[in-house]
Amino acid sequence: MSRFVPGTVLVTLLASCWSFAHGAIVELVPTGQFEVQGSEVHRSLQLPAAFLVSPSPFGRPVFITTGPLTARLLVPARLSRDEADPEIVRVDTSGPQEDFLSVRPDGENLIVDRNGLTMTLKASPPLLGDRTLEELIRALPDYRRGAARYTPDPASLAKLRHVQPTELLVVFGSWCPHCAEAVPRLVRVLQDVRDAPITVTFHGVPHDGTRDPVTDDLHVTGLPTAIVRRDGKELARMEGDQWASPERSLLTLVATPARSAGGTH
Amino acid sequence: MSKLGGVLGPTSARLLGAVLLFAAYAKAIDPRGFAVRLHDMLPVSAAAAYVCGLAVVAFEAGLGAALLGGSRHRRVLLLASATFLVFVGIVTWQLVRPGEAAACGCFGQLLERTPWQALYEDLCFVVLSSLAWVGGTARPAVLRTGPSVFGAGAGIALALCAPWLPLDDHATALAPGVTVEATHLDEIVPELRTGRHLVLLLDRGDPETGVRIAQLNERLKLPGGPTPVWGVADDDPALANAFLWSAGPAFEVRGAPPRMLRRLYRALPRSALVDGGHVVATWSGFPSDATLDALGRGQLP
Repeated sequence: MSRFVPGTVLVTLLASCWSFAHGAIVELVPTGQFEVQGSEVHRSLQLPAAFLVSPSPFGRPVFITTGPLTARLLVPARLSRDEADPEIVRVDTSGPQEDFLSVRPDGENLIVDRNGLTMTLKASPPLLGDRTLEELIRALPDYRRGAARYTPDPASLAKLRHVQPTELLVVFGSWCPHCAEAVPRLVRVLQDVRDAPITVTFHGVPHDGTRDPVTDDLHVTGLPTAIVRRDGKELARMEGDQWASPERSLLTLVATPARSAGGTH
Repeated sequence: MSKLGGVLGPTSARLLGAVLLFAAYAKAIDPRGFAVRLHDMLPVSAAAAYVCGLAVVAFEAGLGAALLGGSRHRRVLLLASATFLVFVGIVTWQLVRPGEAAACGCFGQLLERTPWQALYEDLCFVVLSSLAWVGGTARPAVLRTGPSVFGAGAGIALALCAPWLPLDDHATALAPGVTVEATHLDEIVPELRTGRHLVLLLDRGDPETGVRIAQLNERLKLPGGPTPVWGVADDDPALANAFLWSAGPAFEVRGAPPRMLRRLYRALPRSALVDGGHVVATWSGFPSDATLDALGRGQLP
């Protein structure tokens, strides 16, 4: 008991510091970067990162903070959803903190436990293989939110709706930070020109050095890379800075004459 | 011809000596950086690459000093010719082997070249090493080892002391005055192109760095402080998550390819203040508390 009390006081103090640094309300959105089996994981929009795991094996939602690292059970009164955007969950961190759990890093995972009951928050495995636009945004909520934040150039969108039938193969890594910045912009563009004759396939590749036959066959040297094709022949590629404004880049690329020795997939 | 030969040969040899001394100096001021390049290029372990790096510095400095000192001994010229032929062989192997060719580390960060540029340059040096033979090798007949021993010793001494010498700005591509485009940091953090930012190059596997992050968060009044802060680190997702749990940075840490990042530091952490797309200050390690406090108030340190 005497050992438990100072520990609890310390954790409460750390959590209070965290609350003070972040204000009373923390906004969180669904994330595909981390997972807990059988639960939905939300990640804070602000830094340092915070996570909400709901439902949890402990019966109530678990709120995890980093810097300092703490985990605690939340009473329902602390949780609310944004009326305009139901994906946003708000956690009220004001006032006395309650129900702290034991939490410790285990490599890239996080272990939360109490009385022998354990919950592991771990990095999601990479999204591999071919996916449609709908499958992509369903699997990666961060991409969906990134897409919602991007505003494409309306004039380019209008022109894209009238291009010749075009195929797009987007090679990306769900683990890749550049892809998380760039690909959602293209997602937004494609969502805005759903009526355009553009068919798109997203191809997720592994991170751990495992060779991917598609990247090998197509000599993809950087991620993300979008390969623009017409009638199976490669027209051009969108790479590097071209991802800053994918609608403009795409418009330029679809007007490119087909390469004589274009790759096929 | 004999008069021309009398000038051409010694001049070529001295020129090669100067090139070798410059190459040894460039490697000696960042021996760990050169070891990483060797590790990329050759099938050797990281520890062996460091030892090989020191040996290369000693060899180049010794041979360079001998050539610059005017040695015309057959063995010295033979060694010079063989050295540049070996360089050509290594660079050619880099170009023909499967996978991406590693950048040549012959002149460290002081003179960056693509593998093709390195090949053309080394071919020129092979020609120069052939010209060094013009005019004969008889004088002096006795091999003087003094300059070589001195050169090799100085090279090794510099390489061993270099980590403690304030040479980061000189030895890396991250220095006051350079643009963020030249550092390639803008490819990782495009926000650096405008405004004032503090950039922290981090080793996410270093426990001490994790401990300092809480202090940085506090002193820079993060999140939401007046000076935006960006961390840049190797793009290893496993390390990124472990760092997230242990350090809890109140600033965004973005991953960068190790090869891109390696040009910017000799040891991690390293910090830089960027203003208007230019690097205006750098620090080995993290900035001092006084500097952090100034940045936390939105002032220039």
